[in-house]
Amino acid sequence: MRNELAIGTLCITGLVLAGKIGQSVQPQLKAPVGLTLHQQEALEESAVASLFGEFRASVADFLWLESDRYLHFGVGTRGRLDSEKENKKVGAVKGKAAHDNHHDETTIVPNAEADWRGVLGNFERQTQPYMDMSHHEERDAKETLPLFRLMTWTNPHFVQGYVHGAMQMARVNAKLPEALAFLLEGERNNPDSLSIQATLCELYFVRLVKLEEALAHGNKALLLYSQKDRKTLSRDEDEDANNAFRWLVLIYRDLGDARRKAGDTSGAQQLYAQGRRLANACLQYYPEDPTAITFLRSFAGK
Amino acid sequence: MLRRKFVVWGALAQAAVLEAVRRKDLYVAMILSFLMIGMAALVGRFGVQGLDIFLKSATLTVINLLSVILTIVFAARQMPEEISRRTIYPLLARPISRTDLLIGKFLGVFVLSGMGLLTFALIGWGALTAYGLHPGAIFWQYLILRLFVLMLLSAVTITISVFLTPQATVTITLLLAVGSQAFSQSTLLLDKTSQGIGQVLLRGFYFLLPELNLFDLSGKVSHGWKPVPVWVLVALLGYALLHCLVSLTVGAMRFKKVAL
Repeated sequence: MRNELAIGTLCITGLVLAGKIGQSVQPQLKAPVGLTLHQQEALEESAVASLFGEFRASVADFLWLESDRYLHFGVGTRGRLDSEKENKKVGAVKGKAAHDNHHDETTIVPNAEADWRGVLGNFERQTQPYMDMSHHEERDAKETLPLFRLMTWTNPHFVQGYVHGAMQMARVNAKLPEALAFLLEGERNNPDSLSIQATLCELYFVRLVKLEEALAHGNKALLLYSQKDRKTLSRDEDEDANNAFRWLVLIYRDLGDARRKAGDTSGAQQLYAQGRRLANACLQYYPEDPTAITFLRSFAGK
Repeated sequence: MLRRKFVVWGALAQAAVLEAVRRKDLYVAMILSFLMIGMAALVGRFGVQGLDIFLKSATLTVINLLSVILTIVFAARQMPEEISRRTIYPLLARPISRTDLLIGKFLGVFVLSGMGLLTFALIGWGALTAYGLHPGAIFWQYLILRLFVLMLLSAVTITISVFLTPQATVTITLLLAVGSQAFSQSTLLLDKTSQGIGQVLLRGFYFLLPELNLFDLSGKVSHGWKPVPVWVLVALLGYALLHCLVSLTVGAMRFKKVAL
């Protein structure tokens, strides 16, 4: 009886202490968005997915986190808290190359200057993958490609896997056809994904210079965007929609320039007008978009 | 005097090991590890090449998990079973103190868990080598640190088993072992946003509880890092021994007061 009373007292004390700690903690990070609406629908419609869907989605999420660690030689990173953003002692994750930069991120294992744990912190920095990330270089992106392959194989509705995997492949010229095939597979598995359409638009426009195909995918991305409730979009989807507007504006600019060089001035003007229409639409949703603003300044009324 | 103590502890440890071997506990764990590592290797067979890091990581996770479970299950039932089967009476009728019994059991569990770890490590190493993957020299350091952590877990589990039932002991120590990294990371995060008494309590818990993730080099092994300096191993051995000493002292003090 005395034991039960002691354990009960301990539990109550623990709850009180936890409550005390909870009161003094201010949440500073937003939880990441999990499954998209489409992913949820796909899980609900398939019997197999209903049984294993959650597990597969979790595996894909795990592999997604692992892919980031791969690039950083196993060093784990996390978002910076509000209180850390102004603190110069907290190690920043900045790369030598522009694509290695991770704004607002720091290492999970803190750097010595920002660590209150003394010798235990030193032990952790020795036993866990840790390095100063202020001028880091990322591992060759090729290393992560099998992971992206595995995560989309595990969960074919894991759109981020297709999008980021294809972009990593596209960094290597020899893998461009593979990147395109990977994204098209993503499109087949996720026909209503705005992100995949926007990325296909980018790939066709920037890397493959096939403007007609890029135009078709960009328009499809905007069509999907118009059918969705903006409030339900994830941050990634919102950025991809913005990118789709930008790529389309630039595509119309390039198409117009090509017509102008060929001597077809009126045809060029029509294409510039299309670009202006899209730039104005873009500014309705993203009022500070530099691409749209610059285009409208350069091609105003032409 | 001390030599006699070592003889007693050695005999008790040997009895604990023989009992576990007789029960074929290690065979169950071996079958489990073959199955799980086989699953990890299966991923490689599906034509997804270049998953070296993933396979290493999965294998080491299996080794970690199984060795921890084995240790906790062994340790949690040592003392309660001696009491429930009443075999503790003939033991204590000999010139053996209760503290001797606790230390002997602890050593027995440590030897058993070490054997389990080495078995799992051998299977894991064999599986990786079969797939052309080489964990490197740091793998041996990883094994040494896992031995240290199993020693610590053995001591903590045996001590908790003196206070609680075997089921409760297994639950609590598993939470401690599996949740150690999560606890460490959440403490670091919460500390940034807490102040006053909350912060003091958080830091107090952090230093009081054993930080088991300090003994896990699997991240470095998987990503091909160089071995860590020897002083780190020595310092972590000291840290583990300190926790064992504190834990066994508390356990012995409590066990002396238990009515048999």
